[in-house]
Amino acid sequence: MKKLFSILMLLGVFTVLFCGVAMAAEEAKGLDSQVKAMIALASGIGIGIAAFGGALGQGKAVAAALEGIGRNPGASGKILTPMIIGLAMIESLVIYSLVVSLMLFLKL
Amino acid sequence: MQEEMLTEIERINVIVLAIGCLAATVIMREFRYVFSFGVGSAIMTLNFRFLRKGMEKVFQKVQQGGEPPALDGNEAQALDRNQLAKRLNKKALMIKLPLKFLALVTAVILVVLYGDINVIFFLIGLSTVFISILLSQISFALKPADERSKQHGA
Repeated sequence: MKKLFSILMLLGVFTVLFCGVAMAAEEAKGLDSQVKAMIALASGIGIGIAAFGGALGQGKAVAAALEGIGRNPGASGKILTPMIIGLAMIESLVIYSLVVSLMLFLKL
Repeated sequence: MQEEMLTEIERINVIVLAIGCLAATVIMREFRYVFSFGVGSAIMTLNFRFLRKGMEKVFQKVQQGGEPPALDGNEAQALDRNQLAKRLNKKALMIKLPLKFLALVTAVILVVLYGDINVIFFLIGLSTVFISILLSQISFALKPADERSKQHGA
């Protein structure tokens, strides 16, 4: 069931992708609106996935760090440094995605 | 000792910002590129600094708290969690950190929408923290073993 669901999802993604390419190539008049639709879709889905992944990653990192500090408060200094570095890196990735999404959005 | 690593990363952030701006000036010779790199780099440098300060404030009382009581099993875990929750600075965690993130996003949106920027240079500027972490780790790995273990607190 899980496999079938993932295959269906993949098929859906490919259909959306190839429909966009095929329709974009059809007519000069239809090209603009189709490309714009795809850009809007890419912009929204891109920032959505980035925010979801970033939130998940930050949540896991902080939860693990708090768990560790809760068990051993004496090691909080050692746990805190890699956590801050990790959070900064995750935040950077989300900001990259935001910039790319904004640039796509500005093309509309 | 671990805090030294963060301070070093911050220092390298500023160095990368300065060298990057200089390199962009020399190579591209146009204000637009320097501005793009400088703004991106400055945003991430400040973000890292505020993130560090915020996190340190959140865990300030935990660090001062000392060792937990010697208990075993679920009781000890529950006690630890309660103590930890009491010691966390909730104001910093619930208000200051989200505000910092909001300010960061607002700054990026304003720069992208209203600033005359080159996206590639802006993204390279936003990568300053990555570059700094990489450089600090390389410098840490190149240090002699005894100095490394001393810095790591072993």
